[in-house]
Amino acid sequence: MAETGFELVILLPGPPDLLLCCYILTDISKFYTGDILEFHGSEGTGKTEMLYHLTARCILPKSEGGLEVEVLFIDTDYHFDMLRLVTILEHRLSQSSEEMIKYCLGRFFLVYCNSSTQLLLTLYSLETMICSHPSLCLLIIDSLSAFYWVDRASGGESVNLQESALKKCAQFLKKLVNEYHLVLFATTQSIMKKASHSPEGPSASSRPCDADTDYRPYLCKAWQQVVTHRIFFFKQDDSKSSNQFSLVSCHLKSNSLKKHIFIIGESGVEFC
Amino acid sequence: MGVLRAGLCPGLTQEMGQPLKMVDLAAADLEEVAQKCSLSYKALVALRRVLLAQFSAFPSNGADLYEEMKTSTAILSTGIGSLDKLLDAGLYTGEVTEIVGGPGSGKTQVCLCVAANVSHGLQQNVLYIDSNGGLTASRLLQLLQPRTQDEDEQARALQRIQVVHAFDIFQMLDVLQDLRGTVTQQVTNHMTRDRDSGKFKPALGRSWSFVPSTRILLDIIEGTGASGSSRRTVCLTKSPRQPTGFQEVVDIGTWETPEQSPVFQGEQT
Repeated sequence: MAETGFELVILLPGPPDLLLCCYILTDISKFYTGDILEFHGSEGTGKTEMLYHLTARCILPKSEGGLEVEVLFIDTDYHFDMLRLVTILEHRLSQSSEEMIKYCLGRFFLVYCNSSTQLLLTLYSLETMICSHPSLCLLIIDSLSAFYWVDRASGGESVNLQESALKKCAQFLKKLVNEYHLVLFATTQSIMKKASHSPEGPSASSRPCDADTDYRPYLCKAWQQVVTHRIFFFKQDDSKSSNQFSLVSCHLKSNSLKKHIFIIGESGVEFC
Repeated sequence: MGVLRAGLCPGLTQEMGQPLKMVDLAAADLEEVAQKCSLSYKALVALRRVLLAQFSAFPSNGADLYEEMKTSTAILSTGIGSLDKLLDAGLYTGEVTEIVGGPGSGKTQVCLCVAANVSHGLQQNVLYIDSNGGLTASRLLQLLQPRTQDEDEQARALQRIQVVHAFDIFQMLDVLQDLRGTVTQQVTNHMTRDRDSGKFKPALGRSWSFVPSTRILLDIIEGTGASGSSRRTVCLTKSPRQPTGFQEVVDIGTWETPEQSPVFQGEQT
């Protein structure tokens, strides 16, 4: 059964143009299926809004500027706001009728997970679904760090035990993304503050990506290794630009940095 | 959830040779596992299938979720016009709203006012979990009296407010575990001073700060004369649908006469 699914994927015209979608996201770098992007930032910096923007771009029909592909959204902290997604779709559709909205939403799938064990088991079960939906190209996890403290508490003293579920998730996600030609976007919250007085080890501070942000990697090494791009989100602090945000996109292999500014309006994210 | 035990799911009727975790069974090479424990390879394959079917989450389709949202979402007016303006019509069901402020800034007063409005104005039930002894029934009655003179109505409104005292986290978890149904949650939080910059920030740290969808900050207006002034500023500091930074002024003593603010409700069955 799985083999037939794989053959079908090869016969279809190549993976949909997700490159265009991501081109709009950062305006310069291109992402490819098989890429794993981590959105990192403190609360209120626009990570979830950006995910809605991406989702809307994917599920809208081609005639409205979308890609007509399917999106699988895994929500671990129960923050998903259907009302907000519908508002964004309504603003972007030229004629926002009920049927049109429902037609677009038919390409959207949502799963709730409440523990890292459940996340791992769910990923395994979803493999069949991903296999049978060849137009599913975007996998979103919001957020991957939701179980960090619970895992640490239940793992006792051993770091291995604490990280075992997330480590297996990271490895399996890499496999899924490669085998089924997906792009994965995962958000992580910046719950750790970088100690301002003690210098981090040489490996952490040598990367320009981490140098000017409050970033301290805390998720397991297996996850750090599969991430291909890390995107940091910031909120501009001036009083006149209360809805202005910025993001810095960092390609980990080439160590290149790009910065972009965007605002969040009624219809979602708009790049400046 | 985590370790496999006899009886946990159909097919697992005997104890494994060594304690085995669910994540290990899901991800492992079953032939290796079969050699280490007492079950056969075939039994392990069947067990894994059952495990996945029983414990993994199932995806829902967006169109179905949209239908569900239309029938189960409601926006509850707080009864305070300026606060409703900040919150984009009121408190949304399915979300957590956090009220932050220093001591004496009026957090408990806001909670009491919202409770009174929801139970009388909207005729809905309220579960009030009190963890610092700030609730007094007499103040609730005081808030209901301007809305209706009829004592029976007042009594009915008070009956819809269920009060639970939870003075430690375990009691609170017990109460929350038993809660079912579509609710909107409102929590209060204190302020602490940030170690590095000296500015005030909400307490409970970064991990908590991600949980509420909306946060409003109550502050005492400085320089308004006597410390008994009941006027406060309310500022929106986090919102999933409005730009932040807007401020309104409220009077926590009298709460301007509750206007008939339009209450938006999804089609409720």
